Amino acid sequence: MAEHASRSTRIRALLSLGTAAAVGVTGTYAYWTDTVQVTGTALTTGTIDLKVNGQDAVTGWTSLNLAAMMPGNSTAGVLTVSNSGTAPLQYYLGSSATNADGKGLAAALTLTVTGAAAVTGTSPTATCGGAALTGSATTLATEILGSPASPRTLAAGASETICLQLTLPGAANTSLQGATTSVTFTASGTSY
Amino acid sequence: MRVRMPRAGPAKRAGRVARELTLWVGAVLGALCLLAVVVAPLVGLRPLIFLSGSMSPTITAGSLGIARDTAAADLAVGDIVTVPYADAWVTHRIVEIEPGTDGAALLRLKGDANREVDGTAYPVTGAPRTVVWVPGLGRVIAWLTTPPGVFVLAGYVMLLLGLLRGPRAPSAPAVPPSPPAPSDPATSRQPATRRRGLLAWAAGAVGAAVALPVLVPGEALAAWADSVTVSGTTLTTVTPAAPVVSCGLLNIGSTQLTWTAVPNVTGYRLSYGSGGSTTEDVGPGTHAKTFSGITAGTFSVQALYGSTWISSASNSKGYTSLLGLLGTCA
Repeated sequence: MAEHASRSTRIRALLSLGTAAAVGVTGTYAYWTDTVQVTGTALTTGTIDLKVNGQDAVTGWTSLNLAAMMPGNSTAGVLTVSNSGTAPLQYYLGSSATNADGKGLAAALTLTVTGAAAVTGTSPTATCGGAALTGSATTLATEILGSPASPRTLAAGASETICLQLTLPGAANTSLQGATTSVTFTASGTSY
Repeated sequence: MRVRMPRAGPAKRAGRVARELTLWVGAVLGALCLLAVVVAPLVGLRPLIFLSGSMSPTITAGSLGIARDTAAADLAVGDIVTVPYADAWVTHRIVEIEPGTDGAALLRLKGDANREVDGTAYPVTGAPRTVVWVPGLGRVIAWLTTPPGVFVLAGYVMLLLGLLRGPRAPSAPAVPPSPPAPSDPATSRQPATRRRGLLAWAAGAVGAAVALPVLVPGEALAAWADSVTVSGTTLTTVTPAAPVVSCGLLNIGSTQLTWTAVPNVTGYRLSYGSGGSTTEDVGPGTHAKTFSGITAGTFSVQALYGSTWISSASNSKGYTSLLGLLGTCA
């Protein structure tokens, strides 16, 4: 072997440095897109799968239904929110209510959100036990538990129970007689 | 791989052939890479590294993508584009384009793996459109920018630098697991090579120090979205029904009136006396009122719900009660 590397070897070695340069340049100028983890270059292949009561869409949830609600009555129901995915998720719970008769029943109802796993008592005086959860609303607002800015978190495979209690205050306005509202709850989840 | 044999022979020759082959492959790849690195920015191509799988199964996490800068007017529904979001970038598929003024557009995007369209619309004047991607390659590059990866990269560079001038080319690039300690000139066999090696390590370390802060994305990003709607809840309040009043037992000196029970009431409000001017609230279990002594008036009942809700008035009955005489009710 020659005392010094041959010219050909040198050129090829120099060219081979190009791969390293490309890696550096790519790493530096690439758009690192879909950042799921804040830990920089960690790659997340996991998925999130938010479910309520084990379903991707819950129709006909009648736990809160009350057909002859009177002032002082309350109704309660438990939702189980779970993450069936493989990555942690964050979510918040929102609500929307109809007001077809213009009487504003939904706005008059008071809401209590706790972490109880079961309701206490029976309709029309069912309640949710335990303290109100942090970040929960007391009316049927757009966001009733958590918010996009401060959501709740669910680890992969984790679940939690959310007890919702709606009460018509004993001093409800007399104009609320014969009022009807339909309420839809939405759990909105995102990865983080 | 370094092969150390006591004597020259077929094994040594095979090692040399392997070295030549590796060098050629490295040179060709390196030349292509250099060409790509130099030419790509000139034609508006930029690399993308997919950190999450919201575009899977089309583009999986860890892919390296190549995107071409495209004006908003040339974007179409179905294109996969990269837009800034928070302090990072999100690459999703266009589902809706709202043309704006001055060539701008409002894009609605959705990840192929997401059930839902992204919550925000993205205003753009142009965006890199992903034209080609290689699964897994982004993962390799991502790793090469982590501290252990930079180490390996620096080792590779050092090996090649050694080859460039090395007196004993194949055996020079023994890569130590950590930067060598300052060497003692007396015991160092090849001070020049060692110094070059140190330089290479230093370059690698500086490169990493410069590159890593650039690479660490600032903000978490909602790349995945999933929501569940719970419907079916209906609440209806009662429409208070008025009781119906009837005449009860008529006795000597007393008159009784009764009313029908109304479900769910919390009580009843009675109106009686002259013109029904006297009111009296009774409990939900009371359904009769007896007048005695000398009295007469008009009787009606309302149902009470809670403290504020009152039904309309029932039908009215006139009544009389006179000592020693049979009461009347009509």
